[in-house]
Amino acid sequence: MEDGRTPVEGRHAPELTVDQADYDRLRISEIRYRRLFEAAQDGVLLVDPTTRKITDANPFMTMLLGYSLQEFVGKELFEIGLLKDERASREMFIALKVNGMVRYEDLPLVSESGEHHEVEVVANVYDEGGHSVIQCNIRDITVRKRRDAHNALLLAEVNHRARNLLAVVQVIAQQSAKHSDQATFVARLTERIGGLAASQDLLVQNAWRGVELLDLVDSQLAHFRDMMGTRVRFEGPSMRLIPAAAQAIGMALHELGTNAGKYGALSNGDGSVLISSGLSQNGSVFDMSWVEQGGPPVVPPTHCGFGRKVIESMVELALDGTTEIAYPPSGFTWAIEAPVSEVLETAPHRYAERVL
Amino acid sequence: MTDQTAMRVMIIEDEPLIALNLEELMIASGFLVAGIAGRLAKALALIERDVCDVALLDANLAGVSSGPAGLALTARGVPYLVLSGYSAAQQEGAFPGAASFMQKPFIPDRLVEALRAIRRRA
Repeated sequence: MEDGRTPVEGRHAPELTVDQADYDRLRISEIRYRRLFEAAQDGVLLVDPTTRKITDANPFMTMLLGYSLQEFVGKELFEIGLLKDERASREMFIALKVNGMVRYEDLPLVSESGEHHEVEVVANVYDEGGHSVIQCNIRDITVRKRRDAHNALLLAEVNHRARNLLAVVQVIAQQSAKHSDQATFVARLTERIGGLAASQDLLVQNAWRGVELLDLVDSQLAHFRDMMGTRVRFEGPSMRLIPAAAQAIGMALHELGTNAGKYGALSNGDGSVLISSGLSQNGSVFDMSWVEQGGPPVVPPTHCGFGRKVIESMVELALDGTTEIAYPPSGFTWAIEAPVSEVLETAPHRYAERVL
Repeated sequence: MTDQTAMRVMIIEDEPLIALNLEELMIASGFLVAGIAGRLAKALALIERDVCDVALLDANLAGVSSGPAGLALTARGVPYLVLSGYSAAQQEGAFPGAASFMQKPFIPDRLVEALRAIRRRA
């Protein structure tokens, strides 16, 4: 049929006559379905059910396994590694005979060059004008499998972080409940969870790759936004905090702000707070301070509440640093010094890469 | 060692607030805190240096598995409880020597009870 002419058998066999229109339809059908076979991004093998040998393979199959078409033709499925052995092959042919189709969810397959693939195989039998043909469709699911595994890992990590955060909230709730009536407890707990959420937002915005100290100050002292730059000032170079340090310093700033607003320099009409940060001469020590001035007369607290624990032992533990807290008549002061390696992001993406 | 002497607990936990809360819980329960570590290097140094009867071990310290700390504790004959946001099933492989597992957030009384149970078995 290659010359495009219609073969006509003669007048005595009119049933075998193919007219031009039929021939064109056949030709279009052949082109169309051959194109599908050749362009498919799934492997297709045709197998003779009697001999169990491969009779045809599409180009994708050649690409997937690295065998040429000539190498495929005449081979049994187990010979190209699709089925484990001859026995598995026999079982497949029996199942095909009984059910008309078989399906394997994930079969390991090794290409000629030794590359491993995970494939999904659907084989079915169909009739091709009087004799049966088995068509095997082979889908490479290696990438999907890898993505599924990665997603499972990410989900486990998200769950781990969520549970850790819940554990932190649980601690804040237990601690806020001490020395507190119910109304105060609810108010303080709500504020503290709000502070934690603000730090969390900054971390997520930066994909857990650290937080700029000034952004942290702005977000934790959002309550005093109107005083920023006037009664509340920040002095220091641009510094990027590692996530753990951002969370700890964020919580400390929250407690310092709350305290200043309730009893300290921000509780009256004209007191002020100066927040400064910097590095030691050789760059190995981070320091930060909070100095209040012009507030009401300073009264050192009588008991050590949760706020005090946060600005003292909690940050010390988090940053491996030391704090200094004082109540001079001029105003409350807080300062911390810590090794720079515990506070600032040095190599970019340090935390994110280690965890994920 | 009898139950009359206070149990010495080492706290290996990278979340400082949780570590402090654990410290308070241990003291309130009549235990002694042998030390607190939030990073693997510090934990290994603490295990090497300090004596304790039991350890609370967070499975992950600043993104690093604390598996080596588990091995060091086992080598020193110290039983430990893995306290983690991960489930026990996710952790068993990394901590073959763990006496017990507990998932965060945890119920304080259950943790104290689990530590007492570990000590009774030791």
